[in-house]
Amino acid sequence: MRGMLCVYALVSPSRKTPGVTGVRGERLRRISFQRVDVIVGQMASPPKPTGVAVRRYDTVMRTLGDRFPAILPARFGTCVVDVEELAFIVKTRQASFVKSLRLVRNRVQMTVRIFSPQPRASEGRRLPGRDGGRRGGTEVAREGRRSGAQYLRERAEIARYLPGSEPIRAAVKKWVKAERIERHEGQRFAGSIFHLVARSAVRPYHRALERAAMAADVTTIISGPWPPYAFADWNG
Amino acid sequence: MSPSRPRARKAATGAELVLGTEDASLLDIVDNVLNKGVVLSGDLTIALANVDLIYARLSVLLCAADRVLPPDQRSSAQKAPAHRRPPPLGRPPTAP
Repeated sequence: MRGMLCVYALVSPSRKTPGVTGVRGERLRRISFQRVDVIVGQMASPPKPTGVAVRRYDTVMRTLGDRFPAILPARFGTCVVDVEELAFIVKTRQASFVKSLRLVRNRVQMTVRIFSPQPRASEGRRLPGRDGGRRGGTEVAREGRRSGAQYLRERAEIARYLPGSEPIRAAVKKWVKAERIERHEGQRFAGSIFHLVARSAVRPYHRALERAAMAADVTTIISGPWPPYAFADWNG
Repeated sequence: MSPSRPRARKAATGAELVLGTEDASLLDIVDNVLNKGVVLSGDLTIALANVDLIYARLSVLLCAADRVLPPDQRSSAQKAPAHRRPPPLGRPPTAP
């Protein structure tokens, strides 16, 4: 059966075997390239994202995360035709993969879901930025002195604003190597924070975050540690 | 890295109304596995000031030629004579 290669994860060069079977029970193997190894399984067709399959995929990723100190999980169902195609892709993106592997080495992901205390109205509150987000595009355009890059940086900062998250983030800042924020537009669900934390720091991080959330009276759901899914393909 | 149940605060009744513990766990798994992780294809993201501006799928263009062109077209492309090449930009094509 020729099939295709299902890519599970990228890891730092190692001699270890994957030590686990794949989503369909297939044998996993490690393919070595110059500075990146790839964990793959042979399949006839891409796996379907059923509840059982995604849970199994996460289990596989956790096992791999225990065996390899630096791991970049691939998105579920990532498949390539053959080793040649995989080699081409890895070669063209090797520099960014090596950088990401260095970032996630011996680190795990913690996820914090933040909920608003009451249904949110439209975003009329003050937003971060030089003008608190109050000024419209016309006023900004008239100013003319702000560079395009500066404008984009400020907009990116606004996109990272998550109401209620400041005291929580400040409380765990010393353990956080990298942070990613996703805002949501739901009435109650304000957004998600993904923190990259050293494995050894998970417990103090968790305690500090819970304390900060209670002190700030912010509703949260904390989960983890997870393999570093949110930082595997992240530009920071 | 053993699985950890999501730990909701005792006072987080609002969140528990939104999601039960089991549902929250599956939500995290689905979000991680289907919405995050490395996507392996020949994609190019051009960023300015840490903001992704252009997302261009180059997976077809970046593939090796022998994976895109059938053998007969490959050989004719390699043998294209100079006079059949299009003129440089800015110059109108000459009459045959």
